[in-house]
Amino acid sequence: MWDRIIFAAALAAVWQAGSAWAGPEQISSPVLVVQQIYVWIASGVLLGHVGYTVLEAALGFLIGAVPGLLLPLVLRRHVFLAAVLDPFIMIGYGLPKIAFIPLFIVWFGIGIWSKVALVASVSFFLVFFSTSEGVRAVDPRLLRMAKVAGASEAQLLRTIVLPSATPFVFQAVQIALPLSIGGAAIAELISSNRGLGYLIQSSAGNFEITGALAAVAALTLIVALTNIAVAAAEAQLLAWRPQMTPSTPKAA
Amino acid sequence: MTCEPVLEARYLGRFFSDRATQSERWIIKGLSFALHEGEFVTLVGPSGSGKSTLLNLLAQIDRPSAGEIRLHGEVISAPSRPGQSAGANGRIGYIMQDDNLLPWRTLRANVEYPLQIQGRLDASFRKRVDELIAAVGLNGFENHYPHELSGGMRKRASIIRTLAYDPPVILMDEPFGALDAESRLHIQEDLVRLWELGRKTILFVTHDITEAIALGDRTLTLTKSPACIRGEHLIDISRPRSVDSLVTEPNYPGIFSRIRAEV
Repeated sequence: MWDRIIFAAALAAVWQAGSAWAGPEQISSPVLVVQQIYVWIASGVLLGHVGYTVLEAALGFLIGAVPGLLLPLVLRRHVFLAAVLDPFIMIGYGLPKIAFIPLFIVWFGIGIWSKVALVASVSFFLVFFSTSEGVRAVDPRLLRMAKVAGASEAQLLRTIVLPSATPFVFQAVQIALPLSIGGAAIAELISSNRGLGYLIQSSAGNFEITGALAAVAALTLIVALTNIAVAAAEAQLLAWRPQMTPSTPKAA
Repeated sequence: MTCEPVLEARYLGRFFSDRATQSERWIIKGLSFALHEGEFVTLVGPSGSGKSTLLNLLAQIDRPSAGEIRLHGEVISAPSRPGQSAGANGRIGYIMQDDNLLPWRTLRANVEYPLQIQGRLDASFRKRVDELIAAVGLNGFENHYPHELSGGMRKRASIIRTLAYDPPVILMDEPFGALDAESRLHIQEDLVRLWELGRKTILFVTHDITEAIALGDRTLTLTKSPACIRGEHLIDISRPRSVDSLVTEPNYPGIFSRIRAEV
């Protein structure tokens, strides 16, 4: 713990010293960034931009992740449909979604929905692939036990397939949520008048290095908080697992 | 016995297509037997003799290629009969080789699982679950997850999970194979005690002749592939039997060697 704090302090000190040597207008400084964030918080500017970016990320994540979670459950019993869809989903997974931002803007406008579309397209494929892997990894002996006990397909999904795929779903959420926030900010960089990405873009455009770095710092902080929340939810939902340290499930 | 059998297999057959030789390989052929009310029947066969295939057919997980299966006289499974349901709507229980406990449920929630699925989990069944947990010495472990239990405890939990919902017929597929000798002995005695309390009709498959004699009223033997019933042996050793001192019973050596000669 302390070693990390000392390392962080050392990095900040080097940055501060570098700023004194090269001039704060080029690389700013930790003190200036913290001051800037404080000013933004006090004036309420930061909260508005943070809220906008988080709203885009949350909406996009839900619109992408919920179908990404449900579709593999439905396809479990529709082998033909799954086989038909497979190559298209592979292509969709491989497409660089960021390259579509200009198109999303044309289709959904420069408001919130073009960012939501980008985030949704990123989240969907991540959650879909991981959940599909989890659905395939379900122990057939557990399914057989449940069927003999009289379970219907809906009951199998709810009581066997979904719980055993949960570690895989978490694996995807751990990647998709930070990417959702980052993706929303990236989309804002290209065209927006609100949000942290806009704040970075407009600050840098005015050569306000301190402002741009302060916005990046705020973005980093949100991602870190999200990771903590996901880890806490995982610990809660997966309390049944033998040990918590390896958070990535082994693929069968 | 003259009364109608509880579970009956008539000329049961199951083949799998062999893609290489374009032929049908019969695992089971012309297999017939009947289980009567409250009987504990053990089934011994050489390994690879299709014991698990047979139990999968009886449990309605698999469909026969020939013959039929009757439960209380009603045909529940035949090659052309559509709409069979696994476990015959909770009337046939199946305790498999692995305990198959759900790792995300506590012991108690695992035992209650079939009742919950069947929508029958009420106060009286909860009480029954409590009694069964106590009967196999698992009280105090109700809220433990499967990975926190020993192999023997997990096996006990898987047995009472099936007993809890009270199916009239219970199939058991070498359930104690993976246990050490000590816990095996305890759990065999637990099983007989539970059976004597409720008098379920049980078909218990094993490759261990001593186990077959210790537990059964009757022992059936299987031929090697394709499997059908080779012999039937009445186990005329009075109950309660002590599994531990079974070998000292005067009838034991005779029964053992007769079964041994057939498998």
